[in-house]
Amino acid sequence: MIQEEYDNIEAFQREDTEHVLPLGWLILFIGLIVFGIYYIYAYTPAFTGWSQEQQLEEVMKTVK
Amino acid sequence: MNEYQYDYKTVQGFVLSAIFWGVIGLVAGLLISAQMWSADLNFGEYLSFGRLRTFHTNVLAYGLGIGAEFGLFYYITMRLTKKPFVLPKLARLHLWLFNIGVGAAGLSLLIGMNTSLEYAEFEWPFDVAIVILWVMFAINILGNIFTRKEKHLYVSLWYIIATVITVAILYIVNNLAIPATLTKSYHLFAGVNSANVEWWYGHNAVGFLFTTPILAMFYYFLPKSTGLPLFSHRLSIISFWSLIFAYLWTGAHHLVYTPLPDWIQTLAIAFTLFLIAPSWGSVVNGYFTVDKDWSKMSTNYLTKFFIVGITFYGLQTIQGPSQGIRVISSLIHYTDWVPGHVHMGTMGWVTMVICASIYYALPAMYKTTIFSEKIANTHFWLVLVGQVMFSITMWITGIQQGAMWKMTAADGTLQYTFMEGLVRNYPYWQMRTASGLIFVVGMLFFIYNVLMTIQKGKKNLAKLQEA
Repeated sequence: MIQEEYDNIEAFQREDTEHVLPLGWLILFIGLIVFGIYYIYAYTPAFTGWSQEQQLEEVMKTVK
Repeated sequence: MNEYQYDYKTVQGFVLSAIFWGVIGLVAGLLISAQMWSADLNFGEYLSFGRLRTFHTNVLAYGLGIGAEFGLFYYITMRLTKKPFVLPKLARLHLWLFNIGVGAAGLSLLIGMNTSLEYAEFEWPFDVAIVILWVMFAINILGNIFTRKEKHLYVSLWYIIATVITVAILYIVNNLAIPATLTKSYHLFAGVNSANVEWWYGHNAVGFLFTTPILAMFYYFLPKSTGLPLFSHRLSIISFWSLIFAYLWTGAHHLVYTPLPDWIQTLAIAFTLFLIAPSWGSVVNGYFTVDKDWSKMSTNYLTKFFIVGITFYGLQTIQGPSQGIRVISSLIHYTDWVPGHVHMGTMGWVTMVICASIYYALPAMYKTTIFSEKIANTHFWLVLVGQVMFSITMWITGIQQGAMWKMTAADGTLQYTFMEGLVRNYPYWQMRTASGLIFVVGMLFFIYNVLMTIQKGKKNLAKLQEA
C-alpha cells in the first residue's frame, strides 16, 4: 500500500511577508470605498435629484 | 485498498467528465459561431442557433466548469483538511448522477424546454435535481472542513466554503417558479422584479462559479506547482472577505438605463467599481508570490499558466466594472463586445487555471510527472493566441456596432439602419470562428496530454504497488 504524504501548510505561506498589505493596493482599496460613497450620493435621486429621465431630457435638448 | 486511492478515483472521474462535456460544449460553440455568419449551418429546430446557444453556455458552465470544480474541490479539500471524505460512496454517486444530469439537462434545452432566464434556462425538474446534487457535494466538502485534522484554514478553503453556500442560495432563489406542467414553469417574480432577481443571480453565477472556485484553485495550485509560498496571508483574507461582501450587491449593473429604480442601479455600480480592489488583491498577491523568483516563468512550465490566468482575471476585473458605468454601458451593452468580455474570463482565466490545476493534480495523484511538457507548452500558446484574437475581434466589432446604433443625422434621425450595422459584423464573426478553432486545437493538445499522463500514471502506480 502506498502511503499518502500530507500537505505541509507551513510551506504555503511566506513568513516574512505574511501580514503585508502593499501600500498601493491599500490606497486603491480605501480610495474606492470613498469614491463609492460619493458616487451613491451623487447619483441617487433622493439625495441630489439626479435621475435617468432627467438625463435623457437634457440629452434630447442637445440633439434638436 | 487505501482509502485515498478510492477518493482520487472520484476526482479523476470528475476531471474526465469535465473534459468530455468540455469537448461537446466547445464543438457546439464553434458551430454557433459559424451559424452567426452562415445560416445554412442551422440543422433543423434541434440544432438551430437559438437552442444551441443555451446548450453551449450551460454545458460548458455546468459540465466543464462545475465538473472540474467538483473534482478539484474534492482534491483540494482532502489535501487541506488532511483526511479522506466523510462519505466516499456519496462522492462516487455524485459523480454518476452529475453526468446523467448534465446529459439530460443538455438534451432538455435542445428539445426546447427553456425558462428563458439567462444562465437559469433549465426547467424546474432539473432545478430540483441540481439542488439535490449540490447538497450531496456540500455534505462531503463541509463535512470534511468541520471535522478537519488541520486547524489552520488556508484561504482556498474559505473560497470553497463561500462557493458551496452562495451558489446554493443564488440558485434556489432565482429558480423559484410555479410549475404549470412537467416541462414548463413561470418565474415567481414578475416584471422588473424578475429582471432584478435574475441578474442578481446571473452576475453572481459568474462570481461564485467562475471567480471564487477558480481563486480557490489558484491559491492552492500556484504555491504547490511553483514551490513558492503565498506572498501575504493577510492580503488574501482581506481580499476574500471584501470580495464576498461586495459581490452580491452588484447584479443590477446589468440593468443600467432600464425601468429598474435609479437608486438600485447606482448602488450596484458603486459596489461594482469597489470590486476592483479585492479582485486586484488576488492579482497582486499572485504577482508578488512569483516575484520571489521570476525565473520560474521559464523553468517551471505551469507558472506561466497561473500568471497569464491571473493577468486575464486582472484585465477582466477592470473591464467588467468599467462596463458597469452608465456612459460605457450605453455604448457597449447589447453589442458583441459583451461575448468578447465573457470569453476572456471563461477561456483566459477559468479554463487556463483549471487546465493548469489538472496538469498539477493528475501526476500528483499517480506520483509521476506530466506526459509531455512540450505538448503542454503548445497547448498554452494556442489557447492564448486563440483567446486574445477572440476578444480583440469582438471588442472592435462591439464598439463599431455601438457607435453605429447611436449615430444620428443632423435632423435627429438614426444614421444607420440595423441591417447596415449587422453586415459590418460578418468579417469579425468569421475571424471569431477562426480564433475559436485555434483555441479548440489547443484544448485537443491538453486532452491528449491528460489521457497519456493517466496511462503513464497507471503504469507507475502498478510499479510502486509491486515494490
